[in-house]
Parts: sequence; structure tokens; C-alpha cells
Amino acid sequence: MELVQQGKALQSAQDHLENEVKLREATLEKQQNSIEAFIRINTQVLQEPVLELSKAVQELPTSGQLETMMHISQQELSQVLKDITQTLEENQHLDRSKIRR
Amino acid sequence: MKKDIEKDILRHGLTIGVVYQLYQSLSGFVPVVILPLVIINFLIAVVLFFLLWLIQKKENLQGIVFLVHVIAMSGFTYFWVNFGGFAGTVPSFLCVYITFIVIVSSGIVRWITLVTLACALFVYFQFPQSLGMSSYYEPHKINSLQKTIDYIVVAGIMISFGIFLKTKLLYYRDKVAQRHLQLQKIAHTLHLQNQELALRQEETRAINDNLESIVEDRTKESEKRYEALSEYAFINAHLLRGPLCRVMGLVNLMTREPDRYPPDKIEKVKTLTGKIDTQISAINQVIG
Repeated sequence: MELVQQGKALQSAQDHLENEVKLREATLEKQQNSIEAFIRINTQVLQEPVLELSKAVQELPTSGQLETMMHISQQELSQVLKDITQTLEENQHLDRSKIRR
Repeated sequence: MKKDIEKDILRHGLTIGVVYQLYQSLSGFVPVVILPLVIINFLIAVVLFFLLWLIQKKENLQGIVFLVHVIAMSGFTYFWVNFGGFAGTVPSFLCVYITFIVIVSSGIVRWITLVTLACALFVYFQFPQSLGMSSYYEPHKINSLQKTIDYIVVAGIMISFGIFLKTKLLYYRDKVAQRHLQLQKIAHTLHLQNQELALRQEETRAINDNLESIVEDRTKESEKRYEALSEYAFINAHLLRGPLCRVMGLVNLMTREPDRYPPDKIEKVKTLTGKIDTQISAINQVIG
């Protein structure tokens, strides 16, 4: 009788532990999903000002050294953002070595 | 169990004693009435019956054995003196009595009874004059017919006692067998419980292993995702912010030449870079 009670108590403790682990996992996953969603949204949000910046830079004179450097930097910014967006859309992990500069 | 056996034998012995004394009381009427003998036998029967009743009530078995012994010794002395000493029936009864007392007594009571018996026998044989006898052997005081009947009765008592012992032996043997069976059942139950315990331990171990494995897998997955987020934080902070900072620096330089670079266009670029910078910082704050 005592043995059966101990067995039940053990089973109950294990179930509790399992539930606790599942709960923590769920919370963690939820947090990570939230962060990922936030990143996606913000990356999408970034696209618009970057595109506008590209247009604004093109409106500037193009003869000097400063303008050339400005164009290069702006293109680099657009390219990095494009790569990030593409990687996230393909549900792949980001890798700094794969980002073109 | 030993105590139970001793109690049973004592009860049986007393029952036989009561029956025998009643028989002796009645036999005192034949062929002529010997009143003192009738009275003494009847009194002994009554006392033994009283002890038989007492044994049902009282737990002090050795005390009752001692009382039986006092009665028996008085009776034996009376019959030894008045019915021929060693020529009478007392010696044969003494043999039965000694066997009986050895079986039912224990400890100090046993030693007292045996020493008393030895002392009495010593007096019976060595000092018959002190008991009013000319010798320890007085065959003229006995009735041979009575003696023969007494022997037959003693034989009957012995047979009855033997049957009783056999019955009791079988009874206690069955009891022991039953106890043995119970112990076997308990042992079997314990064995089953042990098996169940082992099974539960195995189940527990399996569950623990499984749980550990799940936790390990999830931890790895979590670490992987964390690494991905860190990688993104790095890309955001360096690869994305790098060219932006350069653009911001160049815009500042262009501000110094308002003739060459229209201020409204420069302002537009400045606003946009500021907006992008705020957005990237917000992302980095969340990740970091």
C-alpha cells in the first residue's frame, strides 16, 4: 500500500517537473518568436526609409569625391538590408559571411 | 505456543483428576462405606474442580500448578499412610504425576515441586515411623480387588492422556502448518511488491532519461536560436550601421558647403538617416 502511494507521489512529481519544463520551453519559444517577429517587422519598416534615402542621395550632385563615397555607402546599406530581408524571408539563419558589402 | 500447550495439558490433567476422585469417592461406598475416604476423595475432587475453573479465569499458570502440587502431595501422603505405602497404588500414580508435573511446570515452580517430591519420597522410605507406619511396605492394608481396579483406571488415564497428547500434537502441527502457509503468502506478497518496486524504478529511470533528452534537445535548439539572434545583432550593429554612419558623416561634411549642396536636399538625407538610425538602435536594444 505504502509502495503504491510512493509510486503515485513519484509519478506526480515527475509529471509536475515535465509540465514545468514544457511551460518554460513554451515561454522561451514565445519570447524568441516575439523577438524574431519584431526583427522582421522592423526590417520591413527599414526598407522604406532606405529606399527614400537612395532616391535622396541620387538627387545630390554626382561630380565630387564626397558624392561618390556617399553613393557607395548608400548602395552598401541597401545591399545589406536586401540580404537580411531575403535571408529572413527564406527562413534561414543570418550569417555575416553571406552578407554582401 | 509453549504456554498454550502447558495450559491445555494442565486443564486435561485436572479434568482427569476430578473424574478419578469422583470415582474414588463412589468406590468408597463399596463393599462397605468408608466415610473418611469418601469425604477426602470428594474434597480433592472439589478442590481440583475449583482449580479447573480457576485455570479458565487466571493467567498465572505456574501458581495454579503449585496449588495442584500442594493438594496432590497431601493426597499422596494420606493414601501412602492408609493404603499400604509402596504396596499400594500411590507409586504408580506418583509416576504419572511426576510426568504430568514435569510437562506443565517451569522455572522455580518446577524445581520446588521436584524437590518436594524427592523429600517426600525420602521421608516415605526412610522414616515410615514418623508417618505412623511400621514399614514403607504394608500389603495387609490394601484390598487386592481395589488395587486391580485402580490399576485399570490408571491404565485408562494413561490411554486418555496419550490420546489427548496425540490430538493436541496434531492440532498444533496444523497450526504450525497454517502459520507456515501464512508466512509463505507474506513472502510471496513481499516478492511481488519488490518486483513492482523494481518496475517503478525502471519506469522512473526511463522517464528521467527521456526528460533529460527532451531538455537537452530543447536547450540546443534554444542555443541555436540565440546564436542566430546574436548574429543578427552583430550584422545590425556593424554591417548595417557601418555604411549608415558613413552616410551620416558625409552629410555633415556636405553641410559645410551650402553653395554646392542644396540645404533642403541635405536636410532630407539627414532626416532619413536619423530615422534609419533610430530604427536600427531600437532593434539592437531588443536583441541586446
